[in-house]
Amino acid sequence: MRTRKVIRSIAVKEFRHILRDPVSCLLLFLMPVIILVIFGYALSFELNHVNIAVLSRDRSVSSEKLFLRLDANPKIRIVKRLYDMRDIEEAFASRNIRAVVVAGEGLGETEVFVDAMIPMLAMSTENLLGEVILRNAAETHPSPNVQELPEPRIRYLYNPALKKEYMPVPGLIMMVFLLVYSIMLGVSVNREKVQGCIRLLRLTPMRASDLMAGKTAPYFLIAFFHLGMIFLVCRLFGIEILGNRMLFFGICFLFAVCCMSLGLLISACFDRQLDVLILCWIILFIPNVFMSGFIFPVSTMPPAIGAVARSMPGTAFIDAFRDVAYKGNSLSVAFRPILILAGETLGFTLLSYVIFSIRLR
Amino acid sequence: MMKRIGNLLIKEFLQLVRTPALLAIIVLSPLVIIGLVPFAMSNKVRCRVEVIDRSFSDAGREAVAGLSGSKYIVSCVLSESLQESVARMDRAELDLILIIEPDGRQTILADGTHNLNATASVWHVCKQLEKPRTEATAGIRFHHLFSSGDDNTHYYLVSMLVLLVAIVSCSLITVSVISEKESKMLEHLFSTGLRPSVYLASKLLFFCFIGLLELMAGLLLSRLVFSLHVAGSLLTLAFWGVCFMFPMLNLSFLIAYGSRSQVQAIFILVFALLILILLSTMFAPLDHMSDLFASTRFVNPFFWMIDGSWMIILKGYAFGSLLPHFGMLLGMGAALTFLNLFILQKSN
Repeated sequence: MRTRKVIRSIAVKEFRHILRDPVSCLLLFLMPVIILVIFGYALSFELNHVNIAVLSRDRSVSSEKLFLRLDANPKIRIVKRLYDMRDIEEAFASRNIRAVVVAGEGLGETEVFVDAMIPMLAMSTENLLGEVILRNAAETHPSPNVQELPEPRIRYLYNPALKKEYMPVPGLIMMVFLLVYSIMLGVSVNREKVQGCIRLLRLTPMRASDLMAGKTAPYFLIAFFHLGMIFLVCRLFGIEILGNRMLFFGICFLFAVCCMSLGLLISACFDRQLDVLILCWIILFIPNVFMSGFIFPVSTMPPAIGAVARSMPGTAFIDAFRDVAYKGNSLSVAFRPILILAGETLGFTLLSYVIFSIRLR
Repeated sequence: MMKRIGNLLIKEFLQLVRTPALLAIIVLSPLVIIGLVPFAMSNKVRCRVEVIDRSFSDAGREAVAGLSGSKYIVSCVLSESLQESVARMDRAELDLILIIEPDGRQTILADGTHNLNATASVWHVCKQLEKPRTEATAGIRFHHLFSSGDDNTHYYLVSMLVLLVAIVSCSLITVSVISEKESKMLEHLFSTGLRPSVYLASKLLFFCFIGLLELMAGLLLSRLVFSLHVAGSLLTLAFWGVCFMFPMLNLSFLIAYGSRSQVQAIFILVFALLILILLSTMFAPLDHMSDLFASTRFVNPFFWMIDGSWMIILKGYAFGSLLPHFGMLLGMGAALTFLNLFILQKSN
């Protein structure tokens, strides 16, 4: 009974601290919405348009026809016309030009210079231009020797329309949770140390577990707001949660708790806000963003880095999210990442409890 | 005035070396951002394929043999049942299933949960399957210029260098300004008759120097660990770094001066950096963005810095090719400097 009262008092105090500071309110309630909605739309991994330059070696009608056909494609924009082969390299410096098409008499004389600095973009550009040039050649110079093979039919499982929003959403949720539950909570707990409140609290019969529970209680409530936001964002982007919804929200909640335990652990170990912030950004945020499989698949990483990446909470959350929401897997199939998350949550909480107990003694 | 700037620079240096946490940022950031993270930044496809051959013809065996020969396909085996293969894909043990029908038609089933990996895997498998036909009939000669390798590491490494410079210099100037504001040192400084322009200039100069040091440390690490060679001039790159830090340091100064506490300043700075980084071309190239989001580049120093750095480091362009970029960075920097001076003069 007494413990519950202590926890409630600390939780009410923490809530007041959050609500009193308009910047904290903005960061907790508005920032996640902005990040999820704007970047869900903005981060696209499919070619929208490509700027190209063209050069006609023979200045013939057939070259002009090819250029007209290229320009007619909604994804291709001819932004520059070159008159000399020596201008090709310099052309890439201006107006975001990604390729130069040099047309000659026949198909065999068509050359395409592609900016291969971004291999992913070079691949899409090569595909797009090759397709248009081949179609043009087939119409202008029909050849009986061309061997017509049926194109393979391609189907994407779990994301049949290959919607671009499917890829960034789990990563963006991970970033928001790390920001709110690890960093904000960590800094908030640390503030008690900086302002000397911890010394005062030591004089009271409060235990380490009371402090931890009281400090995290408001964030549990905020987590429910964020779960509602995730549901709305998924609806907005047309992402259907194929798996069990309770399991899906359970995973999101578990990740929020895991981030809270990380925030508690970091704040338990360090005494200054600046140290907590630096550690959170450099050791926690940046590696989780870049190594969690959000953009770069874990399978493409070297084995040692892949092993580190797989042990990170961000990776486990993204894997579990994709398993349950996109693939509709049950707990029995998606148990591995959930087990990692649960284990890490328990480990971080116990460790922070031990450190807090020692420091509060 | 030069003497005052000199004294302020010495003060900044002493403040920096007296704070171990700030020194930790300077040392730890390059190690994590350049020494560790880029190992994970690769788009080199390592695709796991299963082939279901319903034709029981040579085509199936040829497909398996052809796909096994590709460096982008790490495993390619024949499977008996589609159900089992899909179950393996459910468990993320498989990226792609190729079905060869009795009439020779091919169907590819790819795991679409990671769009980039899915499209790249399909592209490589299709290319491998179509190889004989493409070579016989295509007739288009593709030339790849400025290639940075097929795993994207060098391409992303340049972005990480920009990130390193921005994170270190912006967070240091923010902490420095807000600490002076919190401890009322700023009021003491201005009461000595110090002009706001001199104060701002000393801050920009010192943290610009720190940013340059980080850039050089990052370049050295990139060269040692990832063999990244700067194709252009190192001097141009250093100057380019200064051009980038002009608006970025001013923006951080503005955030720090307008914040009430260190924590608030750092959070606002991180939020601002997050928006600028995600809207720059660090993750998704400009050609992939819709026109609306692509137009945000005009007010995003990150975009101009990253684009310019690619041109200098990977393409070897000289400063003459970067004049539009230079104009944009200078314009943004000048606007923010005037805003900072106006606020400083108004509040003092």
